[in-house]
Amino acid sequence: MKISSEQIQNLYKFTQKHYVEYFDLQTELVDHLANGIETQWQHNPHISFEDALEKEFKKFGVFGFMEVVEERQKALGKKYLGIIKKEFLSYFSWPEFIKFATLWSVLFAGLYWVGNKEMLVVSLLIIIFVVMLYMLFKLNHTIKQRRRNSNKKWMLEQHIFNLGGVVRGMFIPLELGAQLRLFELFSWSVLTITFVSLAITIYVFLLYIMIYKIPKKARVYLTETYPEYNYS
Amino acid sequence: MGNSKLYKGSLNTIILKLLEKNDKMYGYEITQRVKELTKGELEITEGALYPALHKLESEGLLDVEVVKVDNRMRKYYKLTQKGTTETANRLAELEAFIRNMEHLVNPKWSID
Repeated sequence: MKISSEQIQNLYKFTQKHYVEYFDLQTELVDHLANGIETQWQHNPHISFEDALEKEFKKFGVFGFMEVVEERQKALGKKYLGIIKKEFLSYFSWPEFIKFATLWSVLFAGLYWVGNKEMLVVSLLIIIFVVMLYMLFKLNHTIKQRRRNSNKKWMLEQHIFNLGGVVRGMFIPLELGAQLRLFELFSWSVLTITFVSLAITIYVFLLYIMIYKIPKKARVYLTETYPEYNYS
Repeated sequence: MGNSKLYKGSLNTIILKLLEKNDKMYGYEITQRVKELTKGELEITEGALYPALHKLESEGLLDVEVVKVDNRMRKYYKLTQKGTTETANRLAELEAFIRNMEHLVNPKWSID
């Protein structure tokens, strides 16, 4: 006896009911449960679909699918970090490095020539903050649109849209910059200027990659991760 | 008795070894194959298998392929190049472990 298409849909609902929100993981678990139920039917054709499902689900232990979901989260979180790293390192290859070097040089020159360096750093951070808020707002809009078009959730997409859950961390450099007293701790030597301009450059590039570049390429990364699914 | 902590530590190696022999496999198939090979002595629990598979996938040791079978989609796992090398390493490690355990648990005394 084989599982019907309607029963497959029921299995999808079953995984949803047990806190598996993501289509990629649901699909894998649905196939697993379906195989288990079909095997049971081979030995005992009279067992009902519901009973067989219950029996199969019990094999996942008391926590049900929870452990599976958590481990998948961790694995895809790692993948997301890998994507950021790859995108970031791409700026250290020719000719992309020109972009990185240009921003760094401009910031370095600015900090070197301007008298009130603290003011310049704070102004830069304020500009970054405003642009960042605007970009986050736009990203939020894209996510809402995506949810309207499709009810399927993809775990990697969720990581991309949640920015790996580090939104809070993105504000840390801004908060640090706002502590003007911090600047009294060091003198503005060439080394300090080099370091501060480099830090701001890295910060700007990371923000750009996470808030703009990767979400824009989300489709590419999703196709790469789930090549055989029609994920739209 | 077949599901003690001793086995848990070797789950990844068991998965890699199976995939080395079978080219590509899906989750349910792995649980069944292990049961079959160990004559029901060792049962891989579902709650442990998928996390292990996903971890190996994220480490780049496994590659994934999704195929439509009957009226559903099936996710197959297979070894990557890196996975093949790692399988050899882990098997060697496991063999050394078994050898050492044998010496410790069942030492052969001799008086020469």
